[in-house]
Amino acid sequence: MTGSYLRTYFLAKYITSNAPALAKLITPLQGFLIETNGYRKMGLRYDDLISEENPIVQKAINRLPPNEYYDRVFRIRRAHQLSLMHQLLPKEEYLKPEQDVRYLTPYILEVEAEMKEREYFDTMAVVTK
Amino acid sequence: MLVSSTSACLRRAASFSVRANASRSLATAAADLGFESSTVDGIKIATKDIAGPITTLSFVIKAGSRYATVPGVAHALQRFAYQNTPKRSGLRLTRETELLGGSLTSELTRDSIILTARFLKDDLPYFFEALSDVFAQPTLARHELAEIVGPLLKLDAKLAGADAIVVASEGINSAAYRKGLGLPLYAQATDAISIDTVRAYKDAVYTKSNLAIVASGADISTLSDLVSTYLEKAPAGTASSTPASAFYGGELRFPTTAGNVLSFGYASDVSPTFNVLASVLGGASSIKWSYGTSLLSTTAGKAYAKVTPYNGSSLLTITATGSPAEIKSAGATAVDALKTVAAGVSPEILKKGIAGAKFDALYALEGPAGLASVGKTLLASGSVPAASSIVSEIESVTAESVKSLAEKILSEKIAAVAVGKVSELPYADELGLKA
Repeated sequence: MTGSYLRTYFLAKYITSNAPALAKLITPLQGFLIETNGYRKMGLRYDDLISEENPIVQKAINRLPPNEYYDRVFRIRRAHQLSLMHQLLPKEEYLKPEQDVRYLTPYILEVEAEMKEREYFDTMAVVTK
Repeated sequence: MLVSSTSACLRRAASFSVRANASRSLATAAADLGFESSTVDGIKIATKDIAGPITTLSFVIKAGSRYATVPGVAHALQRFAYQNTPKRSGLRLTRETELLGGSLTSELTRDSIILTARFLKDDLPYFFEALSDVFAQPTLARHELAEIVGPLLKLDAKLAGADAIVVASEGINSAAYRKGLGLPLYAQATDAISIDTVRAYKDAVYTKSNLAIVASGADISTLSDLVSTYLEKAPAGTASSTPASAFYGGELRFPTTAGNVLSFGYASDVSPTFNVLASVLGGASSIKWSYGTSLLSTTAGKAYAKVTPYNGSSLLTITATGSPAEIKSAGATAVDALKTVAAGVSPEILKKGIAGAKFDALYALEGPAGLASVGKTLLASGSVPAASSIVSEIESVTAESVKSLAEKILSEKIAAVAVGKVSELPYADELGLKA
């Protein structure tokens, strides 16, 4: 479990920096999939969809600054209400791509790195030279 | 993989080359205490090159609670020591210290924050780098305050509140000085300490001009080179100014179940007369199975006198502990002792007082615990305290000055604190003092 977000993040970074041809192929497909997924039409950001029922994301959410936390709660409650009413937001209130910021991912990566470091120290073998 | 990188880093640190440093001034030796001192890059260093396998290294920083912008922020900054820095995380520092063998402690007094590392002599470069990182570039992350440091601050405050003598000491300082030295040592629940407050305070006080590095078991040239290697990038800043402390006085009472304490305090500018009077009054046992022959020894340890030397002020406290009845009689004995001194000091009593004061003053500078006091004097006056001048100052105290100090305490307004079952503890004027 530990390191799964790190792995995905670094894979994506690797592709965009080291395989530009592959990245060029995938990016329009990515745009199409985001639009048809429709989470922006419910007023959500991508990081609101990350499954939070695990200790890593829970810790990351606890580290959010207060205003980011309140905004997240608002977006999720609004999306719940829309889901209940089987409706989408009016077109003017759809989330724009600039607003779809990966706000939670840096905190998740930080928490994962810390857990990974702790695992490393707990399982290391000491060799005296 | 991680182990080899750790040991490689340690080997690299241990094999740094000794560089000639043009900005290093000539080392001066204060022969009596055995310290050699110097100034490198604006940082004062003093070291005692003693034999033995253990080195003690202290960073003494003029960042104590008296300089706090918000009450309690100095406590938070002290508790932030040894957390994450850009080079290594707090966890990594702890594990590496455990592997090498050593101890890292941080201490807070009203005058300074003291970061102390004790380790085997060969590990000096590693621990110097560790302390320099803590001083020069701590990360001070928001989540650390919430997850790690915040709970520690609460615990410290809780433990302090459960110790009646600490509560009394905080009360005496608060009544005596109000602001500055009167600010509380510990962060209370009512204090609004945010990460921005801590960062601002750290930017203000963790500067080269506020730092004194004191070591025992290291030589001056190695230390000077380490300073220029690791502390070059630290902010220079200006030294925190120490405003003069005025003495106010007053009476405070703290109801608590933590025990009963009655304490009186009087403060003035630094003077060896305070030390001699505290020694003449005495009370604390320095010889096993005996309370000595000082004026307060008849209370069998229930009442004792102590002098706390701050930077720019000396505070004399007379403290009585025990049950309310014991405190009443010990307090009465203390006031009688003051009246005896105010009536006149015989030469033998003065001699005993001077001898006790000399020993206490020099003992405070001794050993690893004494490095903090040496650093405090180094920061305040620019030079290491000289044993000969301390001795001559105390020996020049006259019976007349001790008598007049006792007269002042009996006639002027003092600070008085009662802790515990306050309804049964006496007020200052019931014992004959003014508060």
